[in-house]
Amino acid sequence: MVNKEEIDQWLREGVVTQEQADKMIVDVQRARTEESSSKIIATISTIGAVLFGLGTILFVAANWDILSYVAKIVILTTVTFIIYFLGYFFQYRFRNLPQVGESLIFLSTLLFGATIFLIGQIYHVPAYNHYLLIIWLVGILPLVYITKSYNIAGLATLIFYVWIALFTYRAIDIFENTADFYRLPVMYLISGVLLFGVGALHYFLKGFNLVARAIRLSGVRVTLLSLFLLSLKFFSGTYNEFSFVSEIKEASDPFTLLIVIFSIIALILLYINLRFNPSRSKTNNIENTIGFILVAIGLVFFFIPFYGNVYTLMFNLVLTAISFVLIAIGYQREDLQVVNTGLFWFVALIIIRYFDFFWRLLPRSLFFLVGGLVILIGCIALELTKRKLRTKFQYSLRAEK
Amino acid sequence: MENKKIFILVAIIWIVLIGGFVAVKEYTLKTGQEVLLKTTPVDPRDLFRGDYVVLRYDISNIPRKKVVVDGDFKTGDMMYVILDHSEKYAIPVRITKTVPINDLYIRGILKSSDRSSFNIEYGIESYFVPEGEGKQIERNAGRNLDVKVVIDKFGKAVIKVLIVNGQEIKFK
Repeated sequence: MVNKEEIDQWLREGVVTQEQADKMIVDVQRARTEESSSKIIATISTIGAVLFGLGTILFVAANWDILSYVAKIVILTTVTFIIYFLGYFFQYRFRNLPQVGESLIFLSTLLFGATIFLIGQIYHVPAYNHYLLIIWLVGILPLVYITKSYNIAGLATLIFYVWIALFTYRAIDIFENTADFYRLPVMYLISGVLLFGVGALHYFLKGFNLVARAIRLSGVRVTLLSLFLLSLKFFSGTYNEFSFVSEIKEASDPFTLLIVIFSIIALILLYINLRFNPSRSKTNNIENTIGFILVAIGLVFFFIPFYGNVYTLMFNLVLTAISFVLIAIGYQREDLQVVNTGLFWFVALIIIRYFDFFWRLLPRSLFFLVGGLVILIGCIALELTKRKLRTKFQYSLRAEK
Repeated sequence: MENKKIFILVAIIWIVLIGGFVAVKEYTLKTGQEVLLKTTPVDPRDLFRGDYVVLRYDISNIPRKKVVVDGDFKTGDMMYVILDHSEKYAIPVRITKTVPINDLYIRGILKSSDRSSFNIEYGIESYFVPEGEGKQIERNAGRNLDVKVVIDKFGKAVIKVLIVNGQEIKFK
């Protein structure tokens, strides 16, 4: 869809007449109103679906004493299936309310998870048991491929990330055994790259662009968050003369095994994407090469820890470099979300480093004055840049939809 | 395959997953060996959170001197704790890394260890109760509170019932 600026430009260049330009502007406005209306319907129906689901769960919770276990399971399961099939009918059978249908199917995936956790509760399975999440994930994964839904793909990736945390927790006391917890950022770094590879693989399948994008973006975000954590001395260097890296105990065998398995799968996927991705674009090569480097860095950090701040420096440099690469790739692809992600983490890094370097050097008043000013100016610059980019990238944003 | 059939297939997968989950637990309850476990006091800050009770057992912390230990264990490792249930309460007699044969054993994960003992989690440390009912149980932890658990032949345990002062506590 064209925008007003382009129509004005065509008018100036004499490509269209005034009459044609007026007609086009009216059409564009109408189309935008319809698009906006669709968005509102989708948002409201999603909110409605979530509220209904919450209501069902709360109903069961509020009547916990009155309802027998069987009744609780029957109510939740029945409601889950009713919503699931209603969603199917609206979206695929009658095709009259596709957005409501999509929301209902999404809700049914949430209710399915709630049912699993309820049954776990009935048998006194601790809520942190990671197997509950595996059952949930296995149940909703087929729907990612049937519905090609961005939301369900997002939920699946979220469950995957929470599962990693719960698998790490298992039963281990946080304060008594920090070995695995302390290495969680590395686990998330590698799992982020892994999901990036999984997402990219979906570009091989026709019609799965939205799913691919949801998984890839979640992978990129988790990777950057992990890099950010690892850029802190607390996680990768010497903090107050204590180096967790070298002084903490070895990670447990299951944790180590998981990180090795994730790394191997990630490397295989990156290789497949590098060699066989249909786009064969330059950015594809860069992305996958970065993936290889990140997995390698993560494994070296995991298996060869040592005292000092070398790793901290390295992760700072890597995060800075990747932020810039993301911004560059975002510009090249005209993808605002990618640019935003790169900008966000670059700014976060700058703020943290500002605190690191100047907290002890500057008087407190000056520290906050300068810091506040820098943040304000940074935000204004970001807002202006984003506004410019939004206009520039309008084509690609629409293409995504 | 058309959409309708695929959606029905997914619904069947959901039923299998939900049913399978219930079946696994029921299998343990129906076929397993009942044993009585003695509880120990829990830090009151951790005991009752919302609508479930945190349980600790005598077998949650096993002194190395009191059992035969086969192999070295690291935090997070799977442990097979062989139980002697000839007395009123089941007590640990041996800890192994491999699955025992012909013995009653319970599977656990090593939470932490030191030179004198193992701290183990068995997956039976939570007991869900109706809201507000936990205080009564909280008061009895470590004194009059026992837990009847059922352990199947794979070492998986499920809580069957809580016993306070010799009487079973039942909720709907």
